[in-house]
Amino acid sequence: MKKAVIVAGMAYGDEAKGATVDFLCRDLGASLVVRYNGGHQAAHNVVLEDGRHHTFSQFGSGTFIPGVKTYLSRFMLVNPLAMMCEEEHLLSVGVTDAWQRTTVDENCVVVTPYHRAFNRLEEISRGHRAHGSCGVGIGVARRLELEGLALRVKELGKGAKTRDILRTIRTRLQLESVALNYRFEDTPEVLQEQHTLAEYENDSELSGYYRAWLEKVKIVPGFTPQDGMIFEGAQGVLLDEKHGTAPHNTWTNTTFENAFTLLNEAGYQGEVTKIGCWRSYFTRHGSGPFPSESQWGEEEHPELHNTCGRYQGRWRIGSFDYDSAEQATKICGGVDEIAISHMDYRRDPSGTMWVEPKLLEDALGAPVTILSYGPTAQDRMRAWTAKPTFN
Amino acid sequence: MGGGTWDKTSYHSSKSTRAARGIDDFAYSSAASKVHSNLDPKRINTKPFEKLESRDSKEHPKSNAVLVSFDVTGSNIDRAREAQKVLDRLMDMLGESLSDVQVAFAANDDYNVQRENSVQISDFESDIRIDEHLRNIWLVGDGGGNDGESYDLILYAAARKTVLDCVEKRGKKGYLFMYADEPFFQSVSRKQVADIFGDHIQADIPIKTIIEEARKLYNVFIIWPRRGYAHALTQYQKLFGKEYVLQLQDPNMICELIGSTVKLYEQWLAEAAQHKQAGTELATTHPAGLAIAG
Repeated sequence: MKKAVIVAGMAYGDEAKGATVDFLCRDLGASLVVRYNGGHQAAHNVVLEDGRHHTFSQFGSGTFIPGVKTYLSRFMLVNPLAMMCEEEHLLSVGVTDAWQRTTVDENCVVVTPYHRAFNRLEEISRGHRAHGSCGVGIGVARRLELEGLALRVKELGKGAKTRDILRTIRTRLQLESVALNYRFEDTPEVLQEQHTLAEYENDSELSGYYRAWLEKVKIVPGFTPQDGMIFEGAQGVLLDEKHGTAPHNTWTNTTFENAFTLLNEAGYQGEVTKIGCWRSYFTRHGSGPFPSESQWGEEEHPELHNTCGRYQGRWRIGSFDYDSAEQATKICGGVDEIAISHMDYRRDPSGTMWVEPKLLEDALGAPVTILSYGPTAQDRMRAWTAKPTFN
Repeated sequence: MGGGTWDKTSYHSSKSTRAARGIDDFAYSSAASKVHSNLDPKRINTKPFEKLESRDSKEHPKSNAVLVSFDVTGSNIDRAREAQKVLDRLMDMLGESLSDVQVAFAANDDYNVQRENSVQISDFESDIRIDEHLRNIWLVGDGGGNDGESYDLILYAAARKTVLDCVEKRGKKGYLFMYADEPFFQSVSRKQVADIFGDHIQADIPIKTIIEEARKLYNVFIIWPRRGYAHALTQYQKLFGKEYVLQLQDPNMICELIGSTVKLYEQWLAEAAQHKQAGTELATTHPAGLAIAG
């Protein structure tokens, strides 16, 4: 029986999409996780009962479960170097066959260290008006792609051709970076990133790394639907490229749209369930509007996996915002089911409820089906209104 | 101010006339670009006492003042619409517990967004003009993401820009109900007061001071909708005390909430007075907030 579940974050990211995907894979016996947006800035944390922990970035969040495959669709931007580092960590937590279980679409755009270097220079030059970028280069890669300059997975391992494209990207970004103004020109950070963009040798070195990556991972021409698929979204709808508040948004479509495009192109006829994820309160990493932000800090609300990134900026928390939740749902064309995480933190220090699941159900017209009370899959439960999605 | 008597028939006939003509109940709001002249806080300083008056008269020998303020940001404007729809019920319920009720409506936005249009406040009235004032409120419907709305300016208006005979002549406080879902700012800004009321005060007023002042004239209740920000609720409970913060369960029941709160509070006051006469202590604090909050 063919069934697909699409998981998307409905706020500003950090809505426990990773743990939800892990839970759904186990609960529904899914065989494939599909990434349909974003890039390696995703940080989807999955914690196992025995304490093992991995922050999934490019491998699907179902990778801890034996046999569950990952497919990176063409809507995802890949960073082969980061992927190799991620695999090393997966090895250290006991996942030995991650490469064998992963396929990458040949049309994926590659994010290179050049994109990252330019991204960081740009963010440094903005000073206190920083956009809250993760500083990994996704936005830059996407912008160049839209302008017609992109290195795609199928162009890797082609010797001189690969190096040519790398050089074009590097020189283009180097030229652009000349126009940036910094408050302090010669800080180690600025110098290091400028150096990355300046070095001619980097092109061939990179091209060599990419060749090594190609030997490990399987490249496929397109998407083949399987029985039981989970589509893993990155970031949140309120950061969407079209609907988020520019410039504090992402360069990718964070709604369910890309997942549906993939399914439709593959002629998929089965059932599709859209699951919207929220925390029991709101969070935002970095700058940008956050209407329900409160002044509470780490003491009242300890945060397990999020830290204050150099480029990303401050970790912020606030009350659950029903208006934003409704707005996000509207942007997505509705959700079929609601997942709420961090229910163990659902009360603020004085005992006030952050979110009332029933109220959210009424506001959005969809049932709450997954509630989580802790980081592991075992802490998750099907809510009172739940109906199993897979048999 | 405060002549005439609330008349259900005139409320219903004017409502059905508007409906028949296809006029929106909040017709002013739909075309507004500024606060209605009858609600403009600047007009207060042109009045004889430079205050909004709730006075006794021959017609209303024992007046009681009730001030209700709405938050007109975001989706909160629906509450004002609800209140307008069921205004006759509110008047009935208030009439059960209070004599000669005089009602004024107020509304606040965020000064940081709406500037001089961020406060609206009407005169105290006891007839169909209550409804007119309510309908003239400009339902702005937007707001800032700056973690706060200008509720402090409503408190300022209540504390310093109104004069109540019920307090001055009979030592009986009026009622102030504030609908709020975001935090209060920490102080009343000197600049904002000058901009909105045309008053020149020496310095910013800390929020606690202005709350104390308002409480000398009014029993102040906050109405927090369940969809409001949780951290705002915590702040209200700290500022006003738990029993003065009402949680609005059903957004359509705002008039019932106000009406029953007044009823319970009046009962408690009467009980307290009896105890005082008998020289015994009243065991609990007033039950209104906690009983209804549930």
